Order: sequence, then structure tokens, then C-alpha cells
Amino acid sequence: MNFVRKNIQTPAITWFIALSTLWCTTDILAQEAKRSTEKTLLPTGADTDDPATQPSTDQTPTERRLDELQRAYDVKFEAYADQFADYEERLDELQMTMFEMQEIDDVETGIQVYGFFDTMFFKALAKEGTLMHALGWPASTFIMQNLNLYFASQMTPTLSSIVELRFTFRPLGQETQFEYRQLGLDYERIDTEVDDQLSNEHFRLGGIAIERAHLTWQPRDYLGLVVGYYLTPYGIWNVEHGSPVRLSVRPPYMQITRTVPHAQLGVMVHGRFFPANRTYLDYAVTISNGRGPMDTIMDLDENKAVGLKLKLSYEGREVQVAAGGYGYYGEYTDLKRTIDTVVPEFRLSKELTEKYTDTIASFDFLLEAYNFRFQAEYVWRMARYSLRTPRPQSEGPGYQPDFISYFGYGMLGYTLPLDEWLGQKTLTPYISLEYSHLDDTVPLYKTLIGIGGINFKPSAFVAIKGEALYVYPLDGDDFRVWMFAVQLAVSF
Amino acid sequence: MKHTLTSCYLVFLLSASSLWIANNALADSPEDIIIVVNKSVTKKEVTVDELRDYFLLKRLHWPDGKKIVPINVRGNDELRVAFRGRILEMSETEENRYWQDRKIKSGLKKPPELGSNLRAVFKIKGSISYVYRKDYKEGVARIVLVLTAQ
Repeated sequence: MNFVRKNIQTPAITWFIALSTLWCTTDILAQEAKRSTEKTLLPTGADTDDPATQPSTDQTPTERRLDELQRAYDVKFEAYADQFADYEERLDELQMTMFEMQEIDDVETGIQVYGFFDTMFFKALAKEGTLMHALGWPASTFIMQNLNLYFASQMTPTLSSIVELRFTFRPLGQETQFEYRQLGLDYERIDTEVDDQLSNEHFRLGGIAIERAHLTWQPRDYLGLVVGYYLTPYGIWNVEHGSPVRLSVRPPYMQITRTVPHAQLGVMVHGRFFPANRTYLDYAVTISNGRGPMDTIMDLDENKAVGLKLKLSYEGREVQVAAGGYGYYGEYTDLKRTIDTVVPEFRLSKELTEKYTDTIASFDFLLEAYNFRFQAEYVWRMARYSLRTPRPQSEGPGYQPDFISYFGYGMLGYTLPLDEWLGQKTLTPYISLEYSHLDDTVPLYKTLIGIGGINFKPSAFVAIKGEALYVYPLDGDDFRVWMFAVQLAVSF
Repeated sequence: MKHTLTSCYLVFLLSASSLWIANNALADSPEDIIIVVNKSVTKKEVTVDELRDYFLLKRLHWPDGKKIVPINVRGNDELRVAFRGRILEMSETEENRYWQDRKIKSGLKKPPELGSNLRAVFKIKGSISYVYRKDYKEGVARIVLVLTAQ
């Protein structure tokens, strides 16, 4: 601070002293001149304020000369006074600058709260008599899928944390059992309505899902550590995450089925390298509980799931391209606990009910150039059972065999060059084609999905999308369906 | 002989004029955008691409490991617009969209905006910002890049 004080204040002080000296000198000179004038004029008995002293044609040459000198001094005095005021102002400003510099000690702020939500109008049309017609949506409906709140904080330059909560009206309306008269089963659906204990006002309870909650320690670009419940760093959809960011309404089937766990509880080491200008190489190593029936509560085996992500991206002025992959290997274990004996002593045993290894590979590609956006993802998953669960087969009761899942989609969008009419608003039509096969041992699950839609962003915070989707099962008609959706997604 | 001398004189005049014009064209302009860093930053100079990385938070640390603190000019004045266009290659809406998306994707918030950004660069370790040459005060911060006025 001393250094700056020296550099900033010294010239100002010098100017101040110089100007003060000049002002004093000018003042003395002016007063001296005035006295001299008075002295000269005194013998005539004239008063300086007297109109007779004003310049007139009957003034003596000496008087005129003195008047001229006085006016010249006055002009100079005013000029110096103005300059002095100016320097005084600048001196004040410099002092204020230094004061404010002392005041600013950090730019980090406290917790940030923000989020997004979406609302959709939805209609499905399935052929009467098909499974989809009975299973699907009976009428057009408004839906609110997401209401996500974020709490983010940068505690220190290297430590940050984020919590994302998804609020939902669920489990209201969750169907838990269909009526099946032959077995005497009743239709069951969750009703969350309760009433206020005082007023008896009825209201419905909702639910909260933890989307992510983790601490990030980032001491270097090439090394960071995430601890907690984090989004799996795979693909494009899972990273883009929120409806205001995504181009289309409906996520790909790989995302809906969570073929790759969408989030994991554990640790992640990640980082970024800069191999060239505008080129980024990102990596992440994940270690977690992996997939399980209650993996966010506890792992039921000692085998931790591991994953590796690599992504190379280039962001040019006109062309941006990124290609990445994520591999995952984990073990799924489920068990139950059984009371063996109560007397003479209490004995409890645990019994494994399901166990398989989960091997997943995913690839993603993104190209953005000249208003075009093309993105594609592919996921391959193999489950190998060491302990199988019962599964109804077409030929009768049986067990779940090892299976492979494949999913892939390509989506092409084009932002129309309508800047002249729309300004900063964007209008992006898009089409998408998706292939999915959830379980290669079940032919019914082989499906093609075609999507066409338009995405309109009237501001940075709002996206309005309209979309038509056609599900075309490659085996059978049961899941054939048209879906139409208009979605409003808002970030705040 | 007289013609030769006149020609030489003309050539000299032309060359001198050209040099004067060129020199003036290259001269510092008060509208140049000066990229300044806090004196704790050891990096001597930055490139335009690196600058983009810093202000879009694609690169978070200086080579010595210190946190990069990019500081934007508050509001939407001429300097901010010029910097956004030349370095970030974005319009205001595009920049807003970028930060909205980044917040949702990764929780990253946009760099702070300060009216007194030069003062902030003086004070905050690892900070980087930009000012017009005419507003730059010698000794307050270190210059790492000059974007000449367009």
C-alpha cells in the first residue's frame, strides 16, 4: 500500500503545494497591485468602488494601466482557482480510490440460490387395444416434471460445494398394483393427501429427490476432487442435465432407463489439460458405491464401481467439436435378511438375492458449426449374473439371463438465421432418431424413436419447445405410440 | 540537377509523411483495451485465446496454481460490449445464456462485475480485468496484453 501511496499521492501533493504557492503568490501580487492602485489613487480622494473609478475616457494613462493590470490578474486568478479546484477534486478522487482499494478484499460471495422448472402440455395417441393404449396416458394433461433448486457456494478459491434438489409432486398417483381379479389383487395407487390438523384444510404432500450434493476441491486445472453424490460425467444429456439447457423435450431412452447410473455416491478425481489453443482434454476417474438397490444409502458389497471418462474438445470461432467416452465397471448386489432363530438366542442371517457385474461403455460426439448442432450418443451395457433373479419368460417361469443393452441416437438442430427479425431470440428446429434395445434377450424391447420439434428461446432464461415423437417397436405393435408435447422451461 | 534535387526532396517528403502516418497509426490510442493483472500474477503475458478461457472459466488457475479471478466491468457499457465481442465472441444474450447453462450444468457462476475493476485488480490476488488505456493508472496493475482500438 505504501508503494501505491508513494506513486499516486506524491504527484498530487506536489501539485497541491505548487498550486498553493502559486495561489499565494498570485494573491500577494494581486493585493500588492490593489494597494499600489489605492496608493496611486488616494491623493485624488477617489473610492475604488466609486463609479468614477471605472474605466472611462477621462482616466489618466496610469489609471488605465492599473485597471488593465487588475483585470489581467483577475482573469489569471480565476483560471488558477479553477485549476486548483480541479486538482483538489482529483486529489479527493485519488484518496477515495485508495480508500476503496483498502475496502475491497475479496470478490467471493455467500451462497447462491437458483434453479429451473418446466411445465408441459402432453398428449399421447396409441392404437386402441394395444398395451401402450392401456398402460399409457388416458387423456391430454399438463405435467410439471422438474422443479430443481440449486444451492451453490464458493467457500474459498479452491473449495466449492453444490446441492441440487428436485422437488416433485410424486409419489402422488404412483400406481403400485393393477387389479387382477384371478389373483384377488386390487388396484392400488398412492394418495398423499393429508389434512391440516387445525383447519382440516386438505393438501397433498410431495417429495424431494437429491440430484447431487458434493464438495469440490480444485487446487489445479489438471487436478480436482469431488466428494459426495455427483452426476456421472458421461455423455451430453447427463451433463446438460436441465430442461432449459437441453434442445428437445424428451430425453433419450438411455437417459430415461438410466442405463449408465445418472449419479454416483463416492469420489471423483477430475481435471483438464490444454494441449493446444482452444483445445481441452478432460478426464475423470470415478469411484463409487456403483449401482445397487439402495446405493445412495449404502453399498451392499465390497466391490466399488470404477469409471473413467476422457473427452477432447475444440472450440473454434465457427466450429466447435467434442468427442468423449466413459467406461464403467461395477457390481450389483442385493440381499435380504432373515431371522433364523429367536430362542434360545437371536440369530439373523443375510442372503444374497441378486448379483451381477455391470460393464458399460458410452461414447458421445458434438459438432456445432454455422448454426448447426449435431449430437450423438451411444451406450452399450452388459450384465453378467452370478446370482439370477426370477423373470417371467415367454416360455414360462425362468430366470433373468445375462443381457446386453444398446442405445444410440443422433440429433440435428439448426438455429435459423433470423437475427434481423428476432434479434437475440433463437428458433431452432430439430430432428432426432434413436434406437434402443433395453435387453437383447427380450425382442419386444427393440425400438426406434423418431422426434421432430422446435425450440424457441425468447430470452436467456426461457425455452419453449414443441415436439412430436413417434415410438416404433421393431417387434410387435404393443408399444407403438405418438406423443405430442409443448414444454415451457424456465431457469431463474 | 535541379530536377534531381526536387525529386529527392519529394521522395524524402513522401517517405517522411508515410513514416509519420505509420507511426501515428501504431501509436497508443486512449481507446486501446488494456488487459491488466494483479501484481501477484507471475505470468508475463496472455494470449487472446487464454483470455477467453479465463473469462469463460474454462481455465481456473494461473500456471503457478493461483486461482484466476476474472473481473468484468459492471453494466453494459462500451468497454464491456467491445471486450465481449472481441474476446468472448458473444453478444450480451449469448453470454447470459452461456452462464445460465453453466450454472445448471456445473454450478459455475459468472465472474464478478465491478464498477471499479481497476481498483479490484489492484487489490485482489490473481485477478485480471480490462480498462481503456485512458483509464489506466500506472503502477496500479500490470499490463499483460493490449488490444488495439478498432
